[in-house]
Amino acid sequence: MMRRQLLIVLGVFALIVAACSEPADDAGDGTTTTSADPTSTTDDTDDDTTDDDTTDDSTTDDDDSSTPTGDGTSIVERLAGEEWFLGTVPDLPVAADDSLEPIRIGMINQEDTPAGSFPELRFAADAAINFINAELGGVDGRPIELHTCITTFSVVVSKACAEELVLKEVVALVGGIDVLVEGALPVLEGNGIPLVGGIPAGLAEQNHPNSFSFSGGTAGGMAAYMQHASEQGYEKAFIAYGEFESFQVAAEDYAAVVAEDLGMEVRLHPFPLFGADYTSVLNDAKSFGAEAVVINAADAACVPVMQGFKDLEFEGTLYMFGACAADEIISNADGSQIGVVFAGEGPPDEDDIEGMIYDFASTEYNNGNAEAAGTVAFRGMMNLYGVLTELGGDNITSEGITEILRNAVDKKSFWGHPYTCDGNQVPGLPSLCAPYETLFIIDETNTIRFISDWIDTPALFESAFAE
Amino acid sequence: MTTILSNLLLGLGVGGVIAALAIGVVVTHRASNVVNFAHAAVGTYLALVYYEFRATGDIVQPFLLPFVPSRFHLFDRPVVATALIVTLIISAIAGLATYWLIFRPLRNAAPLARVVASLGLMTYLIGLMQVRFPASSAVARVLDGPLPSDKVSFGSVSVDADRYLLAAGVVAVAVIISLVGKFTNFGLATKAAAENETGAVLLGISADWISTLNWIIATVLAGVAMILAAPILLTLDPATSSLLIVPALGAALLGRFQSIGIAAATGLGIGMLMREISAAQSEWESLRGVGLQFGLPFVIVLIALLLRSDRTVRRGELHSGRMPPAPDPRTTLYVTLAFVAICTLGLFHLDFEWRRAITLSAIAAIMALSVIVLTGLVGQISLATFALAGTAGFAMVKAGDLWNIGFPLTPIIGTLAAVGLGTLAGLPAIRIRGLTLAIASLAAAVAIEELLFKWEWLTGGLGTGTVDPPSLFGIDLQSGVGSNFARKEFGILVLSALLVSMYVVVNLRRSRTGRQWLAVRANERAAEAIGISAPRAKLSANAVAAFLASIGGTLTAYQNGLVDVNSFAALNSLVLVAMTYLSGIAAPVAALVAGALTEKGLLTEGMDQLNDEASQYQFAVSGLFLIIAAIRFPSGIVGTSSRLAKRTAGRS
Repeated sequence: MMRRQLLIVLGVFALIVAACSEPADDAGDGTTTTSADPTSTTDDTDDDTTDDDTTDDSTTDDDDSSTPTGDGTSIVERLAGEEWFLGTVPDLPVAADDSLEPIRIGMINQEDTPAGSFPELRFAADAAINFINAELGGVDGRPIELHTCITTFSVVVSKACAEELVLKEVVALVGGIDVLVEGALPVLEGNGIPLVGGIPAGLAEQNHPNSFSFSGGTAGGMAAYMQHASEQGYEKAFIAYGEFESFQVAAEDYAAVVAEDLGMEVRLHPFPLFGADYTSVLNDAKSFGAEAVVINAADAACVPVMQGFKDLEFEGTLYMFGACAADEIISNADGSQIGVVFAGEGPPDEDDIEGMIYDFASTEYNNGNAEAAGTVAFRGMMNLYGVLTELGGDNITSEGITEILRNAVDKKSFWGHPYTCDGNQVPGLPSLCAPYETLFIIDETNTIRFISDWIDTPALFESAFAE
Repeated sequence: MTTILSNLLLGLGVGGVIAALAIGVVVTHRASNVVNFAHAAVGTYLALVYYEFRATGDIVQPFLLPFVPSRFHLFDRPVVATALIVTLIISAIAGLATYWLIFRPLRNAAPLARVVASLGLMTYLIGLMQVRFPASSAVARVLDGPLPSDKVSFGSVSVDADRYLLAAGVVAVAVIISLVGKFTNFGLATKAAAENETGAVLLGISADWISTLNWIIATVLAGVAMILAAPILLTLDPATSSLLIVPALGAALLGRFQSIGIAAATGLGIGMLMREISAAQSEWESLRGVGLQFGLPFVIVLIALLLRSDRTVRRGELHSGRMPPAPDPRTTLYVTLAFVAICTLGLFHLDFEWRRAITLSAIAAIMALSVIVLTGLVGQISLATFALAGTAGFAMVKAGDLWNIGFPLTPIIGTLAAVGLGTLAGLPAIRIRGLTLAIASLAAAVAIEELLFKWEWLTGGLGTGTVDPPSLFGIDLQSGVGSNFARKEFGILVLSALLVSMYVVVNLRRSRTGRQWLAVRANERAAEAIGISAPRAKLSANAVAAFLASIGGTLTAYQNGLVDVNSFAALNSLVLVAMTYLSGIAAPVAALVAGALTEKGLLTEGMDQLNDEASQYQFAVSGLFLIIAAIRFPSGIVGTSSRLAKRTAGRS
């Protein structure tokens, strides 16, 4: 009896401890590694992406690093000579040389937590690296190696991740989503390691000197809406936002200032992150007489907000973020999406060749679903790759990467607006290097139609913050 | 006036959801004296089952069973009525299973065991839902509710009909349950069984049958509430929807977990008040930024609760089950000394991951000691430990900014601020006790988080602050410099603080004060009868617990290099209490085990190094083991191990 009890106690104890250990996919040291060789990325790699040795033109000496393609032709071959962010697409795919020392890149990403899980960013960064190593020859032959650390909506774990990645001698971090990245930033700063790209969810990431984001954050999107509203001749703008620091700052300190500078009367409306009823928010907008209505909503809130806006017969425009333009959402919108204006950070061109590269790589070099927000991580990794190639395979250092990014002026971005990291693109949020936005609508056939070219939000901020 | 009325109407939607959940919480509490933290999580799971079934015809089953598929197909395109009937049947089965598998075995356990079990259930369900209903799924994006959503207009206000229907339904359910409770045999039997189970059994009432039926009713209510709430709140995210339990508990609290009518009215009132505050914030800039919408209703609930309470111990209030034994900690200091000595050696010889684990474990152990003092030794369940720790952290940063001072003055000021607040927070504990106190402390923690930690003067309004690097006599005490992480200097500071904290607690426990604490824990009325001042004992314990929490809070700030509202969120206190309970709530030495169990602590680091793959079900599995521990090992790891060791020694 006693032995049985002892076994139960020990069993329970061990299992509790196991249950408290790191999430799935972690290596023993708390990080995962994407091998330089895409044929050995992870256990669950799609066979289609790895086994077919179908490219005769591969210039690699190593048979193991042959160019994997899904249909017999690599994307580099297909787009050879086309212009892209690094000049022209190479003529032939070249695999990285596995015998050379890899370039280590880190990534901190929030997954498997009650506060949100974003594996698609990790998969996208992984896909970008596999593509670079398989078709672009790495950086002067040196393969790139991704070390991922999963964080759990915890300052402690975020900091621990940064410490582990520093000790792995990563030269830079490619951004994922880490809402509490403020735990990691001092560690990265103390070691001169830049955080490049990603979705800057928290305010700390948006105003940290070591962070470089190819985005305008929420502030950029909202400023673009105000510009559009002003062009429509609207006089009253209603901005509703969840009570989260970065949303609050974007609405109060940026969107409202820009709107007032454009001559609009603004009503700000905070709502709790949970326990909010959007019907009452829309009613407030209606009673204010709003013509431009910005509602910071996503996922399940998108359709009812669009529907509610239509039902209340507003005379004006509803503005929503690009996340609400997802196929699943629009297919259930029952026409209520017509007239809604969405913001995006991709170029206003459906046939952009960089978009085609993303589509290809996220399918062929992918270990999981890299869609949706994954585009941001893919862009971040590709832009980082651009910086690495500029430095050259033998000269890659954290300082070098930081210097190039800090001095970047209108530097071409992968599938996005050129970026400038002078710290002044969005005053007070120096990490936001590319706040330019495009606006689009979705018509009755659910087809995206761009209604603007790049909106120059830095000019809007400059005007709004001028004395 | 019209505007106020309009706002009240607009608040009916959220208020109806909170009220519906509050009714379920009261029903379960009346049936089996359980405050079910998992009530909203259960409802969320059932609502997800409903919407998934509607969308795909699949039923997603709630058990983690090997070789059993997680879902099975029932119909191709079920209509609303079919989906509702099937979900209600599943809800009834879920209520039955919850009672018989989890809470029936705990009917005579201490309230804390039931709290831990319900936290375990909540953790299990959130983990399970995340895996079985991923955020990218269609059901998470489109919610088509069963109630009509036609617009109904009152003056300038236009509201979806489902809000009114939900509110009307809540009122109807509250009236029906209240009438059933007063005028039917079932209602009277429920009351009898809740008051005195043995007496009820002697009268021929089956307490099990009564409880089972009440659990089924409550679970069905939870499912229906969340099915109807989803299109109003526009989310069925497992975590955020499960957290709706917090305002629902506030509403149930005001009804003292007994009055359906007060709970329902308070729920509706909280929704309407949130709506009024929202409108005011939209109008007046100075009200923005602070978490008034969520914080203020809790302040009002707390004040109302205090005004309604009195010092007199009510019948049944002291019948709170047996707390785990509180062993004499005669060897605890030696064990702690050995632990500190080994850890100090480790700081000098181990790699940084182990050094970090030592530091984090020691900080968590100090926090756990706070819980042991207040809950384990005095019997007051407090869920505000992290709120006090955060108060110390923020006060420390503010003091540094205001007076341009540094270590050690700033942590001392932070500690004083937290002890002051902790003692103040202890005042209500003189008048309220048991589970009521637990929920009141949670409400206080939410209010502190929303109002104090987001107060612009204190935290800049953003809930973060940077900590100046600590140094003493020229010794740099930072946790990390450059790539030298988990520095031994900081580790030694933390271990010293642990040793001092343990010394204080052990000596208090063995002193007259400690004996008074235990006397109050055992029987408050008996303690008063022999001349012990229960209020004084409680207040002193609150002050000591706040002191320990504030040490943990300031060290956490130094460890992270910043203070951040998320590190001190109210829900962290729930996890801390659960972990401390698992380790042994009444034995100071158990704090060392609780510390080791913390995130990135000694045991988790050890497991990380041994096991390079964990399951996506780890969150659910940890919840499952909390439930098992609450049922099977009420003395925790330390108590159970010690009992086994004694038996072994006795045999040999």
